Amino acid sequence: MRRVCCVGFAALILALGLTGCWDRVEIEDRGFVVGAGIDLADEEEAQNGQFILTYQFVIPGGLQAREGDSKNGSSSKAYFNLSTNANTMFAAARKMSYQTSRSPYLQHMRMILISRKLSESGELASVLDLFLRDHEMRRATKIMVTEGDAREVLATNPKNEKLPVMFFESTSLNPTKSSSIYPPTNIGEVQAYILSKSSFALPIIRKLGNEVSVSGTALFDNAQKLKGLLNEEETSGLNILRGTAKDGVIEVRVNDEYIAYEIKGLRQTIQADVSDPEHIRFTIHLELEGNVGETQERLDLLSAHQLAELEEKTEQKVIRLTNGTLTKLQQEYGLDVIGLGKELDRRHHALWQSIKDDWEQGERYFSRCDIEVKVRAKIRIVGSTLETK
Amino acid sequence: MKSFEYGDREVGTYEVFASVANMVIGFGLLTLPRIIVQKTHSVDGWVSILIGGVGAIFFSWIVAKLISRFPKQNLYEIGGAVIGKPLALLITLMFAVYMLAFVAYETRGVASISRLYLFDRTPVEIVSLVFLLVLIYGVSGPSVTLFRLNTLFLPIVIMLIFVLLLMNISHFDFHNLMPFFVTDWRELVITSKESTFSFLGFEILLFYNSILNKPKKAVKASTLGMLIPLILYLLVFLITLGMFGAEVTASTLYPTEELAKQVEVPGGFFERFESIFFSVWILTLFNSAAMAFDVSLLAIEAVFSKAKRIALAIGLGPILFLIIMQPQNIDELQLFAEWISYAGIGVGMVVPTLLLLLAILRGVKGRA
Repeated sequence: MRRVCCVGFAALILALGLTGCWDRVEIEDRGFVVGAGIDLADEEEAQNGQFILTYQFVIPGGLQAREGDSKNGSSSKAYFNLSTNANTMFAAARKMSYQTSRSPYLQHMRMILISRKLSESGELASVLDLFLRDHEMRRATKIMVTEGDAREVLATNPKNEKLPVMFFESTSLNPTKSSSIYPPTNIGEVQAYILSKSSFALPIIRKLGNEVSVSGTALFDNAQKLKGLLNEEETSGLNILRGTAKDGVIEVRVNDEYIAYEIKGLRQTIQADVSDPEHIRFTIHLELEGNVGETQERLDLLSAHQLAELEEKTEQKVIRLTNGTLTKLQQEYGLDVIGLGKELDRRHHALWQSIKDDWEQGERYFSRCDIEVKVRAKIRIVGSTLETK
Repeated sequence: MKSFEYGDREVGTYEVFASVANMVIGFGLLTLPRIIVQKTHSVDGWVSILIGGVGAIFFSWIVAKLISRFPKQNLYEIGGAVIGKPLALLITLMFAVYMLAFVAYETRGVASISRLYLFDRTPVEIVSLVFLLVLIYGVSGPSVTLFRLNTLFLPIVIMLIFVLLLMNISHFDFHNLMPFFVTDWRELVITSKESTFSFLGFEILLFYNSILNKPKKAVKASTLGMLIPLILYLLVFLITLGMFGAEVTASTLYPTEELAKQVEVPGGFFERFESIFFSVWILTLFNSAAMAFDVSLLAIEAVFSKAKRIALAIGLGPILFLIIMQPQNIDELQLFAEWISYAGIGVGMVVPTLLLLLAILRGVKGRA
């Protein structure tokens, strides 16, 4: 009898352990956040907090709704945005729980948009802290700079995607098609730049009416302050210089007409001559491989002579493109976003240790160094037809 | 030919190999890349890990030599034969306390990190308590079962770490590893102390001697067992640095866990690799903690031969729980780990070396 009592008691105690999970949140109660936008508050709003955080929530039902299925009256929007003011991102995120029935759940966050005003104020590192510190966040979240307010950009209605953030993300992945989009940079990489106190670049997204376009580059100095922007042309120069333009199109002018050179491969190597630290000489070797994508001129694309001429024209064009970017980076902004300093750190560590504080500011070695770009462009394929006119 | 190989209560070479490897791989792997790179600031830290590992292998060789000199005897009996009963008693009790502290540390580690990454609201006390209860259940049986469990878990753990590294290989950037050989060699040697801490655990053999069926082969088995963590630590260190770079690794609390979070399979249907990583990770932490608990029970039983194993395990539970709850924050937990590591160097490295030297000098030999 005693034995039965003991076993029964033990079973009762064990049953207490089965009552449930502390951290259980039903999937219906989670508000999936796919993207965030951070703006600087205007002066009149600033008393509620200096930052405006906007989260984009997914409405799961809206994702499934078919076109023309609006009879039941509910809108078929697949997202809604919420904005709150606060001085810290964490408090802003918590305030958001007052406004939604489903508490924000951030594991699926894809993208963070930072407004240009905020970037210029130099607060980038402070607003990103939460997104690196919180355990729900992933280091693969992408970061972009918006030309106007981030919440405006988040409120666009893309044509072919249900969720604006997904639209931005797919667009930002298009550097495989165009060299004028700066490749997506994720928060983990930005943290590495911040910690190593180097300047860096982020892609820009801008709202044009009801459309959104991703092009151009925002340049940040080593104090994470936005210093300037690069336009499309300069961005593609930067992408080629960094060796990240593995695909893309270069328009080359040949005899008053254009041909389109399609980049299919790019190899970049940097050589540094540091014999005179006052005057460091870099040689950036670029080996391009590509196709003729389009010609408007009647060209004999099977003649070796003609191809050599085209290749030479392409090389000249690339040199013009990259020199334009280099002048802007070296003379106007003095920001080494190509990673030449990193290259010195790797290859000439001792020298770098002695000059790194004078690289971009102080003595401004970066602005004074010689950078020579050597390009070798090859044409591999000329397309499937010889003449079209 | 044996008709039933696992019928006896003894373990062979493979079990020793797997258990030493599993015991050593523990909480250290999660923090090791950060701790090393904080001191060396560059990828050169691998030299420190290598020095620490080779040093630990040397001491595990000494431990194995010592126990193969005294087959079937535990630390208490060996100590009794070499330096006399009273001192042996003291050493054995120290060993027991050290191992209990180790159990407490591992348990607290599991609780803290699962609080950080998995359970936001579940109190640390509850996670610790549950883990402790499972530990008590685990050590209630004979030690051999734990050895068998190790042979089962070790391949899973190794495979998991390889999957983790492979899935990250696309983010690996060789440029992050440069520059090499820029850290002062003295700094590297000093830092190797930190990596030695992560290689402790082989000293459990001092008490498992009595169940080894081929004591002569223990030397080879334990050395090979130590090679597994050495290789894994080096790989994880290099890949973590190649992924994050030195600066980010140095400022990430658990770089290896971050590595698991980074895994992204295209298509988006498989995003949360860290939960799988974490579940399997607990396997090896459980094994380390259970064996440490088991060894401390063996040590106490060696001294008080009348003690009943289950009663002892349950009786120690509340004391352990109190120790587990002592560290208030991550800083104190690290301090706690440091004390344990120093104790481990004392009883796991210095004591066996002295015993072996004295045994050779005095010509004391085991019964066999």
